[in-house]
Formats: sequence, C-alpha cells, structure tokens
Amino acid sequence: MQAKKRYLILLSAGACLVLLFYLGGVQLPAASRSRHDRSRNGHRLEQPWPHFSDPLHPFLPWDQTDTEDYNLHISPRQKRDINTSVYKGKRCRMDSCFDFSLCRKNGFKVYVYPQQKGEKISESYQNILSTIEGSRFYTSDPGQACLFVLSLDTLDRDQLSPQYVHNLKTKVQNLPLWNDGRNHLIFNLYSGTWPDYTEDLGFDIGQAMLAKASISTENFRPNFDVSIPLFSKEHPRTGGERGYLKYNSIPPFRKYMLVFKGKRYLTGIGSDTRNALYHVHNAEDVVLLTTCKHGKDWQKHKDARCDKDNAEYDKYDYKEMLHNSTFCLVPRGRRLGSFRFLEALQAACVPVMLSNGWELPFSEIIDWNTAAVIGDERLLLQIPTTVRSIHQDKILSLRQQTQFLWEAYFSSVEKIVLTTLEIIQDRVLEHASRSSLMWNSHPGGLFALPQYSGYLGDFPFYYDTLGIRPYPKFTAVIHAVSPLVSQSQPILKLLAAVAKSQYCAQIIVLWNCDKPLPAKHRWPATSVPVIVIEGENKVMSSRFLPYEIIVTDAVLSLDEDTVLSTTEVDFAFTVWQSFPERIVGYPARSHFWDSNKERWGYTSKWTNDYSMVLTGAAIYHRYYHFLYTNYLPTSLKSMVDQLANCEDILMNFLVSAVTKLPPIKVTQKKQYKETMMGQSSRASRWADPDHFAQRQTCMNKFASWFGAMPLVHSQMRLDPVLFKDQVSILRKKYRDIERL
Amino acid sequence: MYTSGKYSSRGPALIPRMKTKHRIYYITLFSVVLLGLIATGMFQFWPHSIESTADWTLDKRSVHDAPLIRLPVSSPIPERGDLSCRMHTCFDVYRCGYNPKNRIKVYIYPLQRFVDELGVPISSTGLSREYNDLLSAISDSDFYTDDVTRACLFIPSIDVLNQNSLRIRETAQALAMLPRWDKGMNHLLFNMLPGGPPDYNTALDVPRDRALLAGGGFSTWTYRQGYDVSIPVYSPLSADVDLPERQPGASVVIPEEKLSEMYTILKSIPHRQVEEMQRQARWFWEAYFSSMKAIGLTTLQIINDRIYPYAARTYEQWNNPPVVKWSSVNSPLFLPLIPPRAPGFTAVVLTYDRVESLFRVITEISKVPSLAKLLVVWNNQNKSPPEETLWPKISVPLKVVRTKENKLSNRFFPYDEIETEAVLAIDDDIIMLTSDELQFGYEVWREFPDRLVGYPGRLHLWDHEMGKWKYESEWTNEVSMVLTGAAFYHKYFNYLYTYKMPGDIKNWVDAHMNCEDIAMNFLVANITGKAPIKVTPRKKFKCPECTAIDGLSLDQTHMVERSECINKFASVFGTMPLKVVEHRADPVLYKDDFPEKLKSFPNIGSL
Repeated sequence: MQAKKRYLILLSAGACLVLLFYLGGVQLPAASRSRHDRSRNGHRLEQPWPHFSDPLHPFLPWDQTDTEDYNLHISPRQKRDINTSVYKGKRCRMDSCFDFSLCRKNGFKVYVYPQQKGEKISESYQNILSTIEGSRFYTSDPGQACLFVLSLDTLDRDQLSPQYVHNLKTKVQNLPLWNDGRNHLIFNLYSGTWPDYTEDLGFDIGQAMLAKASISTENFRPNFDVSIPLFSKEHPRTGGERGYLKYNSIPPFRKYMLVFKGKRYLTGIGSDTRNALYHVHNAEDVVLLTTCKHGKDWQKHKDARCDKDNAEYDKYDYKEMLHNSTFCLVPRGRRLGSFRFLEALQAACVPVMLSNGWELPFSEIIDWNTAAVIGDERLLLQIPTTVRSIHQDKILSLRQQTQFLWEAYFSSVEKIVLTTLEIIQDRVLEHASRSSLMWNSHPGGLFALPQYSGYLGDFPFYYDTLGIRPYPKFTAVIHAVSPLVSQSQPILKLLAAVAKSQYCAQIIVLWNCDKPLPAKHRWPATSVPVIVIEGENKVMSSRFLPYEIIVTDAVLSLDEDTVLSTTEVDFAFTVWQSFPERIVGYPARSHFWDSNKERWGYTSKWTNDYSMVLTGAAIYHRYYHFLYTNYLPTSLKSMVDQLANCEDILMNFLVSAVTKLPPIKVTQKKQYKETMMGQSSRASRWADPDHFAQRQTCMNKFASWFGAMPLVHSQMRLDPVLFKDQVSILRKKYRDIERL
Repeated sequence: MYTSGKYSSRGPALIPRMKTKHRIYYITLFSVVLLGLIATGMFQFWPHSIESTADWTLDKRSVHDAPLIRLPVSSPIPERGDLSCRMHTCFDVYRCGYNPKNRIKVYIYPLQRFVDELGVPISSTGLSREYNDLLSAISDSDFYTDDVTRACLFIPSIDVLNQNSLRIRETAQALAMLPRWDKGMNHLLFNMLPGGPPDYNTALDVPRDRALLAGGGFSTWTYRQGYDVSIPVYSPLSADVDLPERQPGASVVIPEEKLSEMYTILKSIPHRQVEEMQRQARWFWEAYFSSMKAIGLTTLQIINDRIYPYAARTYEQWNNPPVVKWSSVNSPLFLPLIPPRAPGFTAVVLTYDRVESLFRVITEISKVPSLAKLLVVWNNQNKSPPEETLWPKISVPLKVVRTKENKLSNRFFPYDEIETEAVLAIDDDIIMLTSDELQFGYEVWREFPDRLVGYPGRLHLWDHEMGKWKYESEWTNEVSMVLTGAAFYHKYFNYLYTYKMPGDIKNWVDAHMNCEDIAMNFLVANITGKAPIKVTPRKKFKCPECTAIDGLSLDQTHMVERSECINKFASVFGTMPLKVVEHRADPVLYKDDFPEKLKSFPNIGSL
C-alpha cells in the first residue's frame, strides 16, 4: 500500500512535472523568439512607440474648423501689408521690398544708370554693365524699367582695396531714382575686411536686392538676394572657355582622390578648417597642401608646421593636381566663397564644399547635390571616407554635371549676370517660371525660355526625360519672295510635293513678296490646309517668327525655289524624329579658321565634313523660332534683315550653341543639289556676287556675339538603310531618292 | 516556475529514503507542483494566447497609464525660436556621425502626461490621433532607434500639432524638462496649425529654442531656410496642400497682386500642361502627403538628405512619379560631348583557337589610323596562346588576356587594359572590313559616344500570328540592332553589361553561347532610350573564303534561338527598349559624283 501510494504520488508528481515543462518550455522559446524579432528590427532594447487602445481625439476638433479662428478675418494680403512695414532691411522679401507693379506694363526691363564722369569703374563691373546693356532685358528709359542697376561700382567693398569707392553712401542717396533701393539690384564680390570680414557693404542698401558672392545663409534673404560665384578680373566677358572634360573615362577615378592647394591663415576668421587639413593629407591620393607664405610679415606669425607645409606645397603643381583629381576640396577662406570653386567646376573636378553657412551660387535654382559634395567643416576627418564611399556611377554623373553647370551658368561674366537676371525674372513672372528640371538639365535655363510654354513636352530637350516623343507631323513654312506668275513655278511644285507627305499637317506660305497676295484659287488644291500669311515687314527674320498657327513640334523650313520630292521630305522627317533638338537638312555648308586672315571662313564647296545645313530646306523644332526671335539680340537680327542674307547661318549658330552638336545632313537627289550649288535659279539671291562675301562677314560677326564659335563639324550623312545598295529597288522604301 | 521546478527535480532522489513521517513533505511538494502548474496554466490560457501575451504590453496600453509629470511654476522656459538657426549652427552633426547606411537614427520620448501644479493638463486634447499615427509610423520605420545614446534626432511625445489646444508657457516648460533637451538641439517638433489670435503668427508660438520645426503654414519670414521643414496641413476634411519645397511642376503660384490677372494666367496654361500638373499633384499627394505616416517619413527623409547630402535623393527622385520613369530615360552619359579623335580606340578581339584568322584580323585592324591598342581575349582554357614571336608585328601595343572560362560575356568585360573610352568589339573572323570603314565607324562613334555604332543592322518585328517578337536579318528598310561582331561602343557599357545586366540574362547568354549582341543592344537602348547607328552599307559579315557553314549565322535553329532571345530579354526588361530607325550613316560624300581621291573615306561600299 505504502509503495502503491508512493508510486501514485510519484507518478502524479512526474506527470505534473512533464506538463509544467511542456507548457513552460513552449512559452520560453516563444518569448525569446519575439524578443529576437524585435532586436532584428534595429536592436530595440526598449519598447517602440506603444499602440494605444484609447479612442484618441483628432488634433483639429471638427467644431473648430468652422469657427472663425480658422476662417481668418484678414486675408493673407492684408496680413502681408501689415508685415511689410516690419519686414524691411535684413528681412526683406519680394512681397515687402519689391514693387511688382513696375514690371507689369513693360515686362522685365532693366535700366542701368548712366555713368557719371570721373567715376572709376572696375573692369569686372564694366563687364557686368555692358552685359546688361547688350541683353534683351535692357531699357534706356527708367520709366519702363522693372529693375535698376547702379553705375557706381559696388563690386569691391573691402576698405583696404584699391578698387574701393569712397562716399558711396551719399552718392547713392543722391540718386534721383534710388527710392530707398526699391527694385534695385546691387552686385558685390567682396565685403568687409580684416579682421572680421563682415558682409556689410558700408552703405545703406535700403530695400535693394543683393547679387553677392560669399553670402552666408544667415544674411541671405531667400528668394530676394541672389548668391553669385566669386569670379576673377580675368573672367571673360562673353563666350568663355569650355569645360575641361573631353571624355568620360571608365572607371571614373583619376590619379588623385582629393586635392587642395591654397593659403593657410594661421589665426582669425576662417582659419580653423585650413589649419586642420594636414590631418587628412596622406601625400598619396589625398593631397591637401597649404602655405603660410602670404602677406608681408608671414614669418612673424608662422607656426611649427609652416616650414614643413611650405616645402610640401612647393612639390606639387596646382594645375596638374586640378586636372588629375576626382574630387577637389573647396574650403572657405577668409570669406565663405573662393576661386577654387569655379576652378574645380571647370576642371570637372567634383567640388567638395567645406564652407559651413555659405549660400552656394544660384542656390535658388541649382541643385548642387547633383554636381558637388556638400561637406561639413565640423566633420573634416570624415571627408576622405565620405568621398571614397561615393559610387562610380555617381562620380560619372557628378562630373558631367559640373561641366553642364559651368558652361550653362558660370563660364563668362555674361552668363553669371544673365542667370542672375533670369532668376529675378522667374520671381517676377511666377506663373511663367522655369522648373527645376529646366535649370538643372541640358541646355539649362538661359536657353529654355519659360515664356514659350510651361509644358516641358513643348520643348525639344526633355522628350527622353518625360518618356514621350514629338508630335509625328510637321508644318511646312515656305518663304515666298517672287510673284506668282506661272503655274510651272517651282513654288507650286514644291507645295504639291510637300503636301503629299504623309507627315505633313499643314503648309504655311509666308508672303514676303512686294506684290500683293495672289488670289486663293491660284494656289493648287492640296489635301492639307495651305495658309498664306503676309509678312509684315517683308524681312528675312520673319520666316523664323514663332507663328501661333504652327501647331506641330516640327517645322519644315523651305525657300520658294527649293526642289524636293515627297520621299525626301518623308525620309528627313523620320530622321528628325530621332534628333528633335537638331536641325536636319539637305544641302550643307562648312566653316573653317582662316589662319592667314585670322578670321572664320565660310565655304560652300564639296567637303568631307560640314557644320551647317541650309534652312532653305531643313526640319527643326518650332521652339527655335521662339528662341531666334526672343533670345537673339536686335543687332544680329537687323543685320540679317538688312542684308536679306545669313538668316540660315544665324539659325545654325543658335541651334549649335544650344545643343553643342552639329546639324544633321540627310541625303538628297542630285538635281536639287545642282540648283543649289550652281546657284542658277532665276530669282535666287545665291546669284548675287556679294552674297558669298556677306556670308563670310556674317559668320565673324555672329561668332563675336556668341563669344566663341558654336558650330561643330560632322563627317557623316544619314541615308536610308538600303541607299544605293545592289538590291532590287522594289525592296527599298525610299527608292525615289536614288532616281535621277 | 523555476523554483517549483527545482523542488520537483529533487524529488526522485529522496524516494529511497522515504518514510511515513516524510509524507507531509511529499504532500507539500505535490501541492507546490500543482500550484505551480495551475499558475502556469492560468498564465497560459487566461484570456490571451501565447502569441498575444508577448504583445500585450504593446497593444493594450492606455494613454492614461503614462506617467504624470507635475511642472513646477518656476520650471525653466526655453528661449523663443532662434530665427538665425541653420544646420551648421544649431544642429549637432556629431550625434549623427558617419554611418555606412547614411541614415539618421530617431528617438521618440516615451509618453508622459504633463500637468501644472494644480493638476491641469498642458494641452486640452493630449495626444491626438494624428500625432499618435505619426509617431507610430516613425517607430515602425528604419529611422527609429530606442537607444537614446545613439540617436541623432529626438522627437518629443508632446503633441503640438495644434497650437490652439496648447497652453504655451506650460508646453514650453514641458519641452525644457525633456532629459536630452539641451536647448532643443536636434529636437524635431511637428506643428500643423500655428499661431492664434490676435496676430496669427505663421510659426508655432511655443518657445522652442533651437528645435527644428516641421510646420504647416510657414511664411517666407518665419521659415528658416534649410533648417525647418515645410509640411502640408493634414486634415481629413480637406486636401489643402501647402507644397513643402518648391514644386513648380504641380502648382501655379500667383502673387496676390496679380489676382486680377488670374483668369488670363490660368487660361494661358496649355491643356497638356494642366493634365501634367494634375497628375503630378495627385502623385505628390499620394506619395508624400496623403497620410500622417507619409508626412512624418517625408520630413525625416528631408532632414536625412541635409545631414548626408552626398547620399541625398535628387530632384528627379523626389518629383518623378514611377509611372513616368517607365518610359523616361536619363542616360548616364548625358553631357553632349564629342570626344577628341586623339585617344583613339581599343580593339577587343575575342578568340578561341582560330589563330590564323585572328592574325589576319590583327594585321587588318592595325592599319586603322585611330587604333590605340589591341586586346586579344583568349577564351580557350585548354590551349595557350601562340608564343610572342609568332604574333604579327604591329605599331600599337598588343595585349593578350587569358580567361578562366570560355564564356561569351568575356568579350564585354571592362578590362583595365582598355584605357580608351571607345571600344571596338570584333570577332576573330572579321577580315572583310576595310580600314576606311573602321576609321569611319570610329568617327561616327565620336559623334554618338552614347550609342552602339556597328555595321550590319538587324531588326525586331512583332509577329502578329504568333503574338511574339521575331528576329529579322533580311534586307529591311529598318534597323533596331547592330551586330557586335564589329561595333564601337563606350567602355561604360562593358561595365553595365558585366555588373548591371538585369535578371539572369548574362548567365543565360553564357549558357546558350548566343545572343550576347542582342543583350548588349537591349542594355544600351534601355538605358539611353536611343537607337544604335548603323554605318556603311555592310549587310553581313561574310568572309569570301568561308565555306558552307558561315559561322553560325546561317543556321536555321540559330535564327529561331535569336527570336527567342528577343522575347526572353523583353520579358526580363519588362518592356521592349529597342528603337527602330530607317537611317544609316555614310561618309558625307558617299557615292557622290566626286573624285574618289579627294574623299576622306573612299574605300566603303561593299555589302
């Protein structure tokens, strides 16, 4: 009995034990698993934000939305009016310190004060003023102006500088149109001096906007001031050098990873970062060199490292480093901005910014993260690791973007000034301002005019980005200068041939003939609409006017005596669809540098390459009509009108300046070539002996306005795939081109 | 539980010595075990299952359980918001440091209920539904850390979304009491409705010192550029979007002064643009502002981008809806650049064992003026390349690289030996191309460095009967591919082919020993959105003395396989990237009636 009882107790105890372990055993792993799960999600040692079971109130009770607290009594405008009295000076904004009404009547016009006798103006400032005076924004009538620019040199406000203009305060106050600086734009490169280098200009700028270099984020008034780059006296007025990047090498690494060569300030403002650079220098792929040798009495202040630093400094050539480094350090100097920035940008050496608080140049519109590495002075020691961690693809893209930005906005004083003006114009005409894509992608904001259209797909540049294609039809614009006398005239044949093209949407005849418009029935009946417009001034430039009736993306521009077949037109149009940003045409011409005469030469001879196609027979995007009319200065357009010549050269200059690429020549039938080459057509202006000499003159005039020769040579011609192949002509889609 | 387990485990050891007087001991033991069992059972099977037990502490907590904190009247108040604050002055980056993921760590303070000395809460609503949603979303995100020492950004659990429900002074005191407050350094506050009567400030009136503010309704004067984050006012009642950063694609900004002109301005916007804007605005709303979660995470991403700018999202990433990306391309070689002729090109010849033919190819190519270097890729592992002395003597460097495996993809490897950006891929039996044809091909490549420039062109066609793509090599008027038996292209595409080819295409090509050229055509067209350029009339690579089996190209099964390749690649790419064109490039004076000796490239023209 005892044993039985004992066993019973033992058994039940054992059973209980097993049960206990079983249940407990299940629970323990479960608990540890859930703990494990959580620790995987970011090593959560404590609980994350709890999930409350309570019914919580919305932050905005329903009844409050209807109370007048939220339907504000005063309109934002009234509020702003109250604010305007407060938000002046350092807190100026466009709304409080800028009079929009001045811009409403005449658009964005800029007035430059006449230069006073005896006032010295630095070369840089002179370049700024002449750029504005030569731009399409300029007006000489202050009554028309929206923006005013002083003729007093405000570029250098460092009192110790020889360029410093004294008594600026009184001179400015005495200007009759000053109006407390309202709608004025003041350019400045240097402000303040040793030892604190303040950003004060030394005179009361009132409500004027600043276009200033080295501006700090603290002093920068967003969407009011414009941060401009620091540029040297030697910076060219127009044109400007191209970027140094010639090809995209793979892998994109260069000899050095990161370089810098510059002065070291031992003490005082802005000295910390450069003093610390030696920590990161490794004399191999990170080469950061400083010298103490500057100023008169540098030896007095020199520290223990100076001699060693100076010796290392002399070992390296700055230019060599600049061209052979992947990244270039741009540490602040005494002031926030430095010349290193533009130098690095041009050299396709990706700038690594170490200048805390610098409002980067044109930061309002440029996305600097796509072209530079924005470092933090406080994290200098991390910079090598950071740049080494940047992926090759990113380097490739950063590097190309430096070149785009350099050429689009920085390579000349003209570009810097025009960019500044365009930024302000975008603010004034807010509904027609450029999108960030227009500013930050090829061809850039100076060539993409928002007044043309707010829709990116209307421009020839963004099809790929938007993932769309141009409208698959064209509008033919025929430039007519001779009266309609016979039914066998070339223009009528041309009209019929073009109208037969499956891609033709409409034909516009621009009647630039002195004789009155012929009667409607004189024009042949065609399947597409023929619209005849009378040229207003009967001038050459009118063929490139942005007529609203041109509804297609493509324009086929034609001279009245052009001989073209439908097949040729069809083929050229299919080619254009692949290159919508270029001019696609038939007869081509070339330019060359005539070293004897030291000028550009023009040739119509048969050559192995070309750089222009004649717009007497060419397809291009209608945007170029708008650009030709609105971007080019009156001086060039009126030269073309007076000569009644060179309009095609000017168009080729313009398009190549935008695309940086050559036009495209497509194949043509021989007979057409001969009429053009032989210059035999009766009414042709090609017969004029002066014609050729004029074109040579035009070229040089245009090249000087563009500041460089934008034309680019090409050695190829595009033919149909089976062109002149020894295969049955029936297989060929464009067989007509081969027939004589 | 453990205690009871211990006792019972001792049990069996005692049994042999058991006596009646020990019975009491056993009964005690038994009861203990039983009690333990009941306790465990209770714990296990009481209202919750095992799984929910673990979550119990998370799920069913009440805001009323949060500790109550009494604020002394004299508790310090932070300074008012410092308007001069910028990331480099008021934000401690050392807390964020360098981390390989370039992601900031965000800590959320545990919930506390703040009351003044009289026990009145500092806020009339307490924790709002929206703020709770926002904090939950952040705590579920990758940004979250519960380790306060590792955090770079701190988010108070004090809800300041609506200023009107707050007692300003007490809220400020509560903020200052937070253990890591430190003048508000690296603290982030979210506010939707700032300002109250009478002056309706456009930023939160609660003094907050250096704390960052993600706010709705900023004016240009209260917004600290590059420091604060502008967020939309979220309301379940309205979709009132106040765009955070400048988003010109999605809204029209009209100054109030121009209200009278509004109609004209709005009318002047083209219809297509309006549609575009509507789509863009809808996408913004859905992607970034539609929920408190989106608002919270977008704000953190914006701050993250400021702290790690080199890893920041680009404007396009922020602004382009994924649907646009499908057809849109941003070529990695986007700069319009015609590289100089001087560096020349590197010819890469893939060979197995046709030494005689290889030597002829080498001799022919060496006549091309712009050849900079010849690279022979020896793809035969069983045989060594011929001795150095046997190779043709040419004027440019000749290098041989031996591969580890006989794979077609070896042809497209970005060898370090390729020092030029232009590569001429050429088969070891292509001896028919003239020096003029090759040089001209290189000149054309310079004008189109982002494209494949080749000789014979091929086409893909949609076979309506079969409902799939078909490969076409007959005399077509169109071209969508060029053969890489001889083609110029940028070295970048070698890198892409080797490391970035989508899906299993690369292995598939190696396994089937076919279609590497089609794969390359797909790759380039997909990333650039552009067609290849066919140069010269050349239609096939048929060498005069090649006998019956002309390489592989005439084989019928080979053609079928190439059609299959196109279908397979199209499905891997998820789209048909190839672009069809009707043109080829010829020298300017090709077939013109002009003295041949004056032409740059007279020796062009055979098929």
